[in-house]
Amino acid sequence: MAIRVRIAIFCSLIFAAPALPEGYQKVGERRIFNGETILEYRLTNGLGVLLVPRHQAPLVSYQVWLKVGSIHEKLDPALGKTGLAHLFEHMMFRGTMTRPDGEFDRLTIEMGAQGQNATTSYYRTNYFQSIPSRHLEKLIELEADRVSNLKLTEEILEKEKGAVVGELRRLMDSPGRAAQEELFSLMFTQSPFRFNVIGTEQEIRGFTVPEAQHFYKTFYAPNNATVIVVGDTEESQLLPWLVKYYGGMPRQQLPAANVPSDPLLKKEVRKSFSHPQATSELLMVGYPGPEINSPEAVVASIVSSHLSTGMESVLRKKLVDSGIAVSVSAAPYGQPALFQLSVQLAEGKASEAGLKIIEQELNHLKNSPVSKESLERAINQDRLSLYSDISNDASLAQWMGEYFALCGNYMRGFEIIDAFKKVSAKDVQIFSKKYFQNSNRAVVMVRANGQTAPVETVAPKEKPSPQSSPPAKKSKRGRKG
Amino acid sequence: MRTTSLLGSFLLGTASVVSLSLHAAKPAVQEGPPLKVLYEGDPKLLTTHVQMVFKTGSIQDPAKKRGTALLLSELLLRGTREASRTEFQTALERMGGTLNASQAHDQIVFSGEVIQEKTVPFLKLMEAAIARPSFDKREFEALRTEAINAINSYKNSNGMLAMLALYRKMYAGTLFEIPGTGNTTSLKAIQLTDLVQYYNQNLTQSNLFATVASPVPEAKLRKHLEAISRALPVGNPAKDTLIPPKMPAKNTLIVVKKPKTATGTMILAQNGLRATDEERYPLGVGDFIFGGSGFVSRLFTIIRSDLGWTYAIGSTYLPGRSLSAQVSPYFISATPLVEYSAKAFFKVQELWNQYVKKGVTAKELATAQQSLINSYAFTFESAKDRAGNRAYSELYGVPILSPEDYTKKIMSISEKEILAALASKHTTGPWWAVMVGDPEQIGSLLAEEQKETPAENRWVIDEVVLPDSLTE
Repeated sequence: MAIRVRIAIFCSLIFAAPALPEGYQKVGERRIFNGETILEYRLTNGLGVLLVPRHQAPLVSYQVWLKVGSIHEKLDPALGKTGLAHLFEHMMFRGTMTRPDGEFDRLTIEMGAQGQNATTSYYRTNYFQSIPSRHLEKLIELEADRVSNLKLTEEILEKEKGAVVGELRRLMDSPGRAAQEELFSLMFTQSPFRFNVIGTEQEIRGFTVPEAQHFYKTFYAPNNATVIVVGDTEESQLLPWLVKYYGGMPRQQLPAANVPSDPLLKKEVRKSFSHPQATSELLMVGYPGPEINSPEAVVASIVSSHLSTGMESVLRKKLVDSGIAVSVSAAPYGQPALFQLSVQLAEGKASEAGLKIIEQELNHLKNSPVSKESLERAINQDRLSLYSDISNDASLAQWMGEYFALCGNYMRGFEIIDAFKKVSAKDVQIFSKKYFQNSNRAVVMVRANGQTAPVETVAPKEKPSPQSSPPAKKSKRGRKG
Repeated sequence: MRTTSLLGSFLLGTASVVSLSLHAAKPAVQEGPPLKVLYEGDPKLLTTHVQMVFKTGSIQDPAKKRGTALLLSELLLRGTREASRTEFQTALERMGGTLNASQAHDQIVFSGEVIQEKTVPFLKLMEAAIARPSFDKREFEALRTEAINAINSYKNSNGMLAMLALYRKMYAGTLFEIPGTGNTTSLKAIQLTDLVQYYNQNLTQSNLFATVASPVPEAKLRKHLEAISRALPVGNPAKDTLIPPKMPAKNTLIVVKKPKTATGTMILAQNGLRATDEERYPLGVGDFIFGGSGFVSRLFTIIRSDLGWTYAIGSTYLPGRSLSAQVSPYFISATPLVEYSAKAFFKVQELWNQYVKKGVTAKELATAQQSLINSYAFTFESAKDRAGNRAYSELYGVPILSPEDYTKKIMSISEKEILAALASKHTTGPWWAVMVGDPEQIGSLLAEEQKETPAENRWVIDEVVLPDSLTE
């Protein structure tokens, strides 16, 4: 009897399981703290899929993440330059073999697409929009079409170069972008992180159709992409559509991206220069940071919040409230791994004054444990930020996508927040002692136009040639000013 | 970083923080009209979002003291009668809350968000900030310095400089010629007593309503919200004096001198719309087609996609804000490559003239209608969005259309109606125009493009201004 029951249960499980259409399999299911479930699938051709069903509104956010950015093109022997990944992001909004230039935009706009855009960083490119869910199948068809059938012509490439050069020039007018470019070129002497994402004007102007075709075939492959969907849909609806429209894309052999590691700076490097559009000084300081998968990434997030999130953050109080600066931020990067501080000085104030206060506060972190109240404040500010963000479909998709692209683990952001409760004041102290070493840091000071820039550079011997354009960590295909 | 920058305040009407004080002798409880609470519940939310909206703003700033409403709203978040700024903010931030203040010409809004389980303690802190401010002199001095520093930092942004120059011309001789954030001169003129006076006169029950988006039932929150209201004087509703923009007698170009720019920031402006104008629907659809819709607009497809002259280009009836009771300016802006700045400048006008004279095509109209109808659902996406819609309706008396009514309204718009609305509200000129860059270079590029133009019709640089003059 007992055996029969067991068999009956076993059979019912088998027959109750949904008949999975050929072409994909479910590879994971994770619950997050708010009770929602993230479902993970993989198509036969390697396309990854993350789905969070939500039915509060008849809307859905649809994002495509490709693990290709400026570091990959720089490391590709057939290319060896930067800027094409970003230029390509623009090209993806032009025509395909079956749809003329402008058709993708027109059709998605007609659907009522909101927040439609794309960004390129060092390590990934993403395309995103939200639409009424009744148009989801059509959107999938359009997205799959452009990721597999893009039409690359000389005429369109040349036209789009103009817009991209326009974007580059706009960045050049930003003292902050110029500072960040310098900071990265000082800190990363071997890896492609020292080159800005958008490339130089010369590189952009020089890209050819064969190079674009090589890039497209190599990197825009299903096994290099993940589709993230949050909103009003279900597996039974979504997956068959994905199989139908993406399923025919052939898997590609992806080149290994062996990113050279950058040696730790052994002595502080500092650079100071004037920028024609700066009317007040700007300070940027970069320290090495922890890898995103390390337990120290959790502490880095709390330290960042302690330093610059909220009115009571220590650097805001010491720099902005005191009238030395207009704004300050402190944040860890995932790729490249660094901890960056940026200060927009008040008019007439010197970067050196900002740097002195930063040093004082970081030394304070090293020498004495943060109070229980400060730790709780920092943690809860981060929690608030997450709670607020993930209620929005597009923000949750972005959150998962960014971590997935960074380290292959879409849950990493949630893990970091969850691990906050285990962080002690001692952990913060240990982290600060390890990472905030003056000898390992790079300092960039942008002087206001017209001021004499004191040269305090101690440049590394292998410092690369400065680029004529600033770095674009997340270069956007902006719609309007 | 959650800290709000003062930079966005002037044009966008979004701003920063506030706190209250000692000399504002307010009675403990005052009987006034019941507080209107626009509540939107959602049990799945992880946070509570609250807005206390006062229908008063920088239009009530004393003469020559622009920035009073901003400083007041900021100061209210910097200490209460019971707690210093540090004690207050630490308590707020430790519980996982944030509280900001924003201001526009007709509103001061205290917006807060908190982890939902802390909603009630958060509301008590909000009450202390709004009803029992400390008006601490030292905090005031520090805040004023911070505001002046923020104003000076506008000069780092060419877009901001262009807008400052434009407003100075469009609203010359009126309160609006200086932004609501003030300038360095007006901020220096403001004293703590000005803030107390503004507070007592304008932060009243008659001007107040609340919006809430929360998983916590309204019944549990109402008494705490009402406590904030009842601690304020009843007062009288604030008046929103109308200050329309002035149009020039001829095309007028101002150049903000900023040599060595890589792009040529430009803005063209003329009179726009009010929230209650009947033309807002046809012109909203029309502007979607002309420049407001991004990728498919005429400006974008022709000047960026086809010609490749610019990265950013677009048009709007008011950057970053919804229409209000005031006539908003209508803007066209772009950031062309410097060498194409004059070409883009004239191409924009050519396209505008075509639009005003001939209107839109049936195909363009059909695309715009489909897009607007389909995207209308996003207006109601979250509880916060729905509360925001109701707040807008409360402020300007504009109804929130149901999706069905909105569809009917949009589908009823014809090409003819758009053309008539254009004729009613717009002209082919004259324009106010601002360009940021090297005046010599701009002058020569303009001359090159106008070689065939009769002298009397040519654009010339009417005025060159320095960045410093726009912030002082």
